[in-house]
Amino acid sequence: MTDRLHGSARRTIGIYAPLLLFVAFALFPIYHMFLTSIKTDRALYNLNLNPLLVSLGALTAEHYRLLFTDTLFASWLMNSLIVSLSSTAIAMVISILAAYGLTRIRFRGAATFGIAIFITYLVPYSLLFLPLTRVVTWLNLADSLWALIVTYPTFLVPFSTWLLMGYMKTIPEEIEKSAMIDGCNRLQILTRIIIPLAVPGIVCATLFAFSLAWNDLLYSLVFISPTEKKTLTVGVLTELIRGDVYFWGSLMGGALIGSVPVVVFYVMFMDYYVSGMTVGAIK
Amino acid sequence: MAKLVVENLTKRFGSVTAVDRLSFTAEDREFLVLIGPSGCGKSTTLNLIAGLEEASAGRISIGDRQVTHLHPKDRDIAMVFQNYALYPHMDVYANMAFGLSMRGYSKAEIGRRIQEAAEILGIKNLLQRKPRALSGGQRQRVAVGRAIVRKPAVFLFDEPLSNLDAKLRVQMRAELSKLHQRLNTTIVYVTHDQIEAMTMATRIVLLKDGICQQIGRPLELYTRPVNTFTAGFIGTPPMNLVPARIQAENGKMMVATDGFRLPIPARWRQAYERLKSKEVIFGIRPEHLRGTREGDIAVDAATVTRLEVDLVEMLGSHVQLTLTCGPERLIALADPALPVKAGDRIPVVFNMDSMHLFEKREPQRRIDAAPAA
Repeated sequence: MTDRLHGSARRTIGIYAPLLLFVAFALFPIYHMFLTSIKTDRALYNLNLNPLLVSLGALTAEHYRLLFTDTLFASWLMNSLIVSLSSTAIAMVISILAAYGLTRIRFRGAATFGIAIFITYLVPYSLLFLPLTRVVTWLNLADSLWALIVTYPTFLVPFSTWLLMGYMKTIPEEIEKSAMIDGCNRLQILTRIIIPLAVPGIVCATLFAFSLAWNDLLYSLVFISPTEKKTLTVGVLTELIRGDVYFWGSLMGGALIGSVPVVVFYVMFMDYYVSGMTVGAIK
Repeated sequence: MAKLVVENLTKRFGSVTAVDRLSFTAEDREFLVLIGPSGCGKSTTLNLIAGLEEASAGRISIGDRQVTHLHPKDRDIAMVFQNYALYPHMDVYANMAFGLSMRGYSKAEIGRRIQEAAEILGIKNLLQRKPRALSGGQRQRVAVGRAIVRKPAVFLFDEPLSNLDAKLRVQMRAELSKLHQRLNTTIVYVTHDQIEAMTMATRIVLLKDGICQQIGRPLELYTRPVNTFTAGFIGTPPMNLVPARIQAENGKMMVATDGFRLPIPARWRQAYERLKSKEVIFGIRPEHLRGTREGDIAVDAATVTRLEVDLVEMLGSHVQLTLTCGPERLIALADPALPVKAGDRIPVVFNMDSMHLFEKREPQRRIDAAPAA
């Protein structure tokens, strides 16, 4: 009896101790960001204080006030949301159609095309911005959010298509044949059978695509210069570092708020996300 | 309820011919089984009938309609797949309703048909469940139910029992046979399991490398296989096939091999005269080869040969003996009470009335005593 209790206690410790370590490791940057964003500058720059703690007297909301009143932070946040959501939506529509076509419709060159997509996905996107700059200028989209909405899919589509292809391959072909006999055409098979079954994969791809778009710095930095059109990543970086002056508190506050949407989405879709990740692990 | 006619059906995948000028007819209400080893083109044939693959050549008609180039949904067929292919995101009711609602049936009619099918299959209590909450046998029933509600002209079954365990397979086999009688409809059934073919089929189409070997009633394939392939494929354990020579001796015709010399029954002597000195393949089923004990029973000494036992397998109802016969191995059956062990030399009775002869050269066709009229 006691042995068994010991056994289960040991198991609990064996599982949770490493987990706690990992959680601490993962949460530390967030903790530090948060702490920095609510400390007064005086406390922040005092090297004699413990940087990982804050005294009640040194708390301030000043950094957030600055963020929302003295900068266009709210606009950047909005811009980021608009750009990320629209480019993700566009990318998902294209990717779902492409992934289905490439995995299921037998046409000449389908396999080659699939591999080509994979190779595109391997091209570093930091190489692509040079030619894309010319495209954006040619399309007359420079300095508008459209520049990003149109260019983000260039790296989102190959990535999500590849991910979705892997997922769709796991859906037995007989289900489709069955649907065909039941009277579905290709589009109906896609909308009524494949998409509902691929939800975990689609959610997973959407989340990844969204965070890729949300986190982008390079394209946004290159294609957009007016302050009010900037996305969050670029806005925070360019407007809160002036010369060699770092507005640490506000910088961290901005970064913290910036990471909220991604965290919220991931938590919301946790179950799907996890089952999407482990696809093919067990048959 | 309709007749299915397949004429010169051919399917090529690149340079591979999966189905080669296949022709057969499934009469109205027939239970036709397509059988053959893996890769013989039986599933491809079924997919062609269903319209899931486009035929390279040939014609398919159902009832009096040409369906060769029709979309699967317009062919009036229903198909049951090996892995059931249920829609995992729909419950049983929705699975069965899907095909009907795609065809615009009213809710009331759909409900009526589903209740009826569920009644027949005994799955009324499962209608609200998702496929993942069902056992293999239950899934199979739902898959059959999904086909039944459509009331199609022809049912297509693609190895529907292969994923079930042995016991359940036997049970479902009987149920499918009963279902066929009850529904009174045309069924084309693909399997690689010859027991399924023998027990359920009204007729069997045996395929090899996309080419039809033989079409006939189960017993016909068993008793009169048209070539050595059919002979070896139908029946477990398979027919013994040994190269032999036909010899005339004292006015008798003899089958001679490296291990034995046995007389051909008198009534066939005349007919086999033409084979004198010819090389042939001699075939005899294990149940027509009986291992015995010296002096056990009075047998015509002419049909007894002493052979060495290589392996003894006790199966309860009988013993299966593997015998050495020159370079060949023969399988014989014996009474379980027979005291025999490997290495023994025992008298083996050949029931020569049940022998088969095949040509030596490919495709090793059957040689009949009386050439077909």
